[in-house]
Order: sequence, then C-alpha cells, then structure tokens
Amino acid sequence: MNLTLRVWRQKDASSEGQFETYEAQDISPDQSFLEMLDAVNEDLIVAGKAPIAFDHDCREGICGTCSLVIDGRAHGPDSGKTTCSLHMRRFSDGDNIVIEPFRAKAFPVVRDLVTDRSSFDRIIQSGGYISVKTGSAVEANAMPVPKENSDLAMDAAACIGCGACVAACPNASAMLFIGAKVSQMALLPQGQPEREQRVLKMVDTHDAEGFGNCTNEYECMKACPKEIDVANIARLNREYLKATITTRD
Amino acid sequence: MRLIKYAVGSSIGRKQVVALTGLLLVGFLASHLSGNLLILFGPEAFDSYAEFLAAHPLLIPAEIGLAAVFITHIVWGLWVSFQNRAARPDRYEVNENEGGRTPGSATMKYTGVMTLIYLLIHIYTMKIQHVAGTSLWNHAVNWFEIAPYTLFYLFAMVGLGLHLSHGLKSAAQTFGINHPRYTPVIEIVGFVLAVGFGVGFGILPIWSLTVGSQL
Repeated sequence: MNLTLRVWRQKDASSEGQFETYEAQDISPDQSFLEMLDAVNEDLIVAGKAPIAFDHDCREGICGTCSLVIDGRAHGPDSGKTTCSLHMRRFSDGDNIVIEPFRAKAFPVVRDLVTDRSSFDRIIQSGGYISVKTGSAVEANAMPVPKENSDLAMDAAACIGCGACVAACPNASAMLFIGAKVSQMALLPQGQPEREQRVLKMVDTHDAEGFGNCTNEYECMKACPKEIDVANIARLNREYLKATITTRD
Repeated sequence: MRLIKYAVGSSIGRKQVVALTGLLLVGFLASHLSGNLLILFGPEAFDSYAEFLAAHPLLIPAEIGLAAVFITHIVWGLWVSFQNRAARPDRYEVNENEGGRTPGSATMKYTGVMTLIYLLIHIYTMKIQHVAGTSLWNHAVNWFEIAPYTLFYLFAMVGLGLHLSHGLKSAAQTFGINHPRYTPVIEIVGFVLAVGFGVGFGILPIWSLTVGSQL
C-alpha cells in the first residue's frame, strides 16, 4: 500500500517546527506503524535527509515508550493499543495520515515526534514508591489482601506510563496516570504507611509540572492503551481530600 | 496551610471548590425553579410569593451568601479553564475525540460563560429594573413578550441544561464517587435534572406568551 504522511518535524526544543509531507511507498499491511516509519526513514537516509525521530523500545506494547498522535488520536485509531501494536492493515491504500507528537506543556518536544516525558518520572520520584526494605517474601497468609482489592490494584498497576492520557486529555492533565499510581499502592497493605504523604506530594508535583486540571471528560480512559479506569481518578480525588483533612502538616 | 494550598494552590482542591459550589447552585436552582413555577398559577400566587421573599429578614444575608457561591464558582471555574488552556500551549493539527467527551462536557466553559451573561441580564431585568410594589408577574410576562429577550432566554436555558448534564455527574466524580452500583444512577439523575431544569425554566416564557398574556 502507498500512503501520504504529514509529519511534524522540529529540529530541537528551541526551534520552530512544521509539518512535512512524505510518501510511504510499498508498505505491507503486516508492518506495524513504527516499522512503516522505519521504512520511510530508510528512504530519507538514502536520500541524504535527516530521519524522523520517534520514541520506541520494546515494540510489543508493554514498555510505554512509543507515543504519537495519529490523525488526532493518541496511539492511533484503535483503543487499548500502543502505536507499536498498531498495524498498517488498519489503514487503506492511498490514506493521508497526520502524525504529531504528544502535545502538553509538561511534555516538551525534544525533536520531531520525541517528547520529554521525564515529568512523569519526577511525579513518581515525589511519592510513587514504597520506602521499606521488603526482604524475602513473607508467608502468604501473614498479609491478607481481599481478592477484589488485589484485582483493582493489578488493574491500576497495568499503567505503562506512556502519557497517552495527557496527550488525549483536552486539558493535558495527568490525573489518570497519578490516579493509577496512587491507587495501586492505596489498595494494598504495603502502601499504607506513606499513603497520605504520597498522594499529597504526587498531586503537588503534578501541578508544579504544568499539567492541566481534570474536567472528567474521560478521553484519557478511551485513549489509554491499558484501558485504566477513571474510577482510579475518583479514588485519587478521595485520597487527596482525605489526606488534606487528616494530615498534621 | 494545607487547607489554603488545597483550595487555592492544588488542581484537585480547586476542582472540588468548583464542584461544591456547583452543587450548592443546583440547590438554589431547585428552590428558584419551584418559586418561579408559581407564575403558572397566576399573578396573585406569584406576586404574594415575591412579596413574601422581598420582605423576609433573611433575604439580604441569603443574597450575600448566594452571590459568594456564584462568584466562587465563576472565578474558580474560569481559573481552572485558563490553566487548562495554558497546559497545552501548542494545539493539535487534527482534533479527533477518543470517545469520552459528551456535548455537555465539551461545551462546559462556553455554557458557563453564557449562563453568566444570562445571569447579569436576569439580575438587571428582574431585580434592578422591577419597581418595588408593582406586580412582578406582570413585569416578567411583559419581558417575555419581547422576542429577542425570550429567544436569548430559551437559548440560555438550553445552555444551562447542557452545563448541568455534565456538571452533576462530574461533581460526583470530583468528590471521588465512582462505583459500579451508584455511578449509573448518578448519571441518570444528573441527566433527568438537567433536562428538568432546562424544560422547567423554558416553559415559563412559552406559557407566558400563550396562556399568561391572555390573563
């Protein structure tokens, strides 16, 4: 199949970017979206031009490194899928495809389609951890966890931190991300000692990084490749209100 | 310190301020609508209710409280809105919805501003312009006979309904209420109330122009 791509090109963070048009020739429907970009890049290199920079790593939908907004949708047109798991058979011969980076003040463009998502790392560093030495595994019944809670915590922990929630949010808010990260620990016994301080610090960092405020449009949940539920945002809101009232700071 | 930071300096706190004041305003709307529906019962019923309110000793404190709630809701709402705009300085070339937005959620800030404009006109026409001691019923029905005013009024009530269609369920989520048992009920109640308020207020000019003006 042959496609026409309009791709965002930007030399570096301080340069102005613009869209460039490229023809993607002889693309196999079995190629992934990133493999299609690889093929385009090979042609660009042969022609002596700079290849399109884009983030990628595992290419099997589990690492959260790939990104891209394809025809206005984070990780492309399918729900529950990362860009690396999107295949060209989803498109038709002759299609025009617009490819943009994730856009948010907290995700500045580094080059072309690569954005700096280290603001997520700083949110995690501010509270998204458990500071106890776990040692060897304890006896299974020493720490009872209700099945429902373990399921909900596992669902929240499926978040791969790709940032699609921010990209899809009309307000560039990262509430689904911190909702998932706060929930996975608030639901389990190991998360209890730092429960209060965690949510306060993570929300503070989220706000300081320049993410927007959630207005409950739920675009994040629909865009999330791991289909994280917005019930995690509700839990975050509860945890934050509770911690604000009970903290002795 | 935490509480100030919560209400002023945190995203979730600011949202909860908007949600709480929004819910209080829904309570006001309910009492306002129930009072206004007395228009349908003729001038005596409506005017005696209006005079009772005007003479009530708690009217001024209630109005001050209501104004404070309105202003907080508007200022905090706009503040959140401007911040959200600033969180994405470079816009997308292609804007495609992922499937979560609703007509109500996507238009929240516009319907909010429209309701504010309506509110200012409403206070001017029905409160400042109304001469004490004369029939408020006559005053209101006369205004509804002015076509551009009534069209704007109906337009504003559709906006109010849209605003509430997202506002009520959004407020629940903002306070952390999201449960497989209750959320579907909250969504239905929110929708019914939004339609109820829109139709309830919208019926007033229609009734005034068809039945009321004949009385």
